[in-house]
Amino acid sequence: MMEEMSQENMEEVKVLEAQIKHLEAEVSALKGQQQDNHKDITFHFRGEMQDAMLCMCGQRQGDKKEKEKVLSRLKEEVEELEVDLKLQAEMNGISLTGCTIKTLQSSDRKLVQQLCVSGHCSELVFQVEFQLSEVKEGSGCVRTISDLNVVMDASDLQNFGSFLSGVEESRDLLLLFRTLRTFSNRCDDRRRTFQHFQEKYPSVVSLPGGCSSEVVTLNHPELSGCLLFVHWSVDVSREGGVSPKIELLTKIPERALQLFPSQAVGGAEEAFQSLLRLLGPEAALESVVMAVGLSRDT
Amino acid sequence: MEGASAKGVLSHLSLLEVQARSRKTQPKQPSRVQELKAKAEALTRQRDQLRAEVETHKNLKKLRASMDKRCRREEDEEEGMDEDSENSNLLRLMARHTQLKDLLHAYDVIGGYNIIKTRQGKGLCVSLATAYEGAYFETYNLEMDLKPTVRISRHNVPPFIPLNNLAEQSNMQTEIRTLLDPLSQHLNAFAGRKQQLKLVKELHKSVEVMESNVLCSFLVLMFTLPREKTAVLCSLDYSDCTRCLPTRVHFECEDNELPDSPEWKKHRSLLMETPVHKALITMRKMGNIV
Repeated sequence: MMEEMSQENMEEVKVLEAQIKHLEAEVSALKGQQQDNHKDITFHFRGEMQDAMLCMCGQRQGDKKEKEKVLSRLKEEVEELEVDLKLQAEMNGISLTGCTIKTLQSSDRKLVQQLCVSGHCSELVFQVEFQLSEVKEGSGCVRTISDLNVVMDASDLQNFGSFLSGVEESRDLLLLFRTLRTFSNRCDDRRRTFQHFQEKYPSVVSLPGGCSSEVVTLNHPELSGCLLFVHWSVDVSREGGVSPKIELLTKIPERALQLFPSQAVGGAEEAFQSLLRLLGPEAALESVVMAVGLSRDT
Repeated sequence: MEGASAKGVLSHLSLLEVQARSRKTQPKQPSRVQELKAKAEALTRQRDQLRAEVETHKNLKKLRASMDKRCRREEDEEEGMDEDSENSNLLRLMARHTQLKDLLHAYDVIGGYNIIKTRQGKGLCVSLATAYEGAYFETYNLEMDLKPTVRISRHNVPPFIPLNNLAEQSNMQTEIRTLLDPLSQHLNAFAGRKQQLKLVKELHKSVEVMESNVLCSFLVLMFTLPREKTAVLCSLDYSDCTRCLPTRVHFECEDNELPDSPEWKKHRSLLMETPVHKALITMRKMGNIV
């Protein structure tokens, strides 16, 4: 057969062989890029996403109907995921609004990712960054967290500071979120209660620092010199224990104390603690507010 | 994309031409030229396919990054896309898909309850993850009925965790979290105490574990003092099972004065405030125990 090839054919063969070599190099480079892409878990696709990917790459370009089908199936799946996300947010009491994942290392045995999770828990806004490694050991997978870093609003940090530095050291991600949620719930309790009393007794109750503040002022409009402060703080221990603490502080002029040396006025602060223990925060506050308002009715 | 199909058509045409010519002159044997042309064509197809995939990946990543930025800044502006609208819809949908998957993964990693609704809303499956100091441990599961009343139907919570008590004390008929949050606290505290005990055994072989219980709520350790060559018995009571730190630390020694010495008072505070495996490291560094 070789003898039958003409000079023209020989040249064509050379051109084609060169072309093929060039194409093979291109293909191998592209395959390398594809492999790198697949290492990133976020962009490693299966199922509907894989079909969508093939559609985008024009493999099914001719068939418009096919493309519409892929689009609608993917839409369905995305809607299911949206519903699932809402459910998790509701059931966990934490709204995650962003999560970016960077794959640092990916092999058969080991996966190391850098995650940046942002969101809010009621009014508390957070951004948490950490490294997650998953190593296959035996039949299972061992997950560990390292390099935990938490960013929160400075005003929220006041009660949280020592807890946050402790949790960054211990890398206890789950404890962070459990505590965040509990702290947020207690702050919500406080806000609701303060707001309720301010609305119910506007002449007596005032919130100089706004609804989210720790202090509410009680004062009878005709007794301007006499003020009662209710300080409701939510403390967080380094261990993650959340404890609300409510105190009554009085600011009564010296003259008034001299005129009314009774225990009721001077010992108000301790008396309030007993009231708290007996009735709980809402009822205790209500009693104090009503007393300050000098009202007889409920 | 258009160029690729044009090229494909052209090379197909040239192949047909070659075949027609060879049919006129010679019989069946494919020539070297024909073989090579076919191979070149196949490789071209493969290259174009790969190119399209890599390009799509790149666009998807870019779109996802801009969507993430938008979520953080809560902007409504969207960067212009130069794809035709059908493809851009699909790409946007794909980007949203990756976003949702990542967010759901995040809920799992931060120890979320991984709620799954079952039986058309009549049931619920809940997972409770446990972790301590950066390491994840067991995940416990609850299966719950929601109708007619909310109750736990199946679970794999160990018997020494007071699940029934927690259920009774909770408000689970209206708010399931009033059961899940305390339960998670108990389970995580247990995982923490268990891990501390494991680390004591691993890291402090000179400290003997005399007694422990399955709930890890009670621990008796024996310390050897280097100089005095006597032993100190240390009992740790974890009577608050929602915590990983003891509520009571007690020392017993032949020397009755020792537990009240300033050094050992320091040790008591240390053990009350620091996880036991870490406290022991400090105590050994201070040279007070072997």
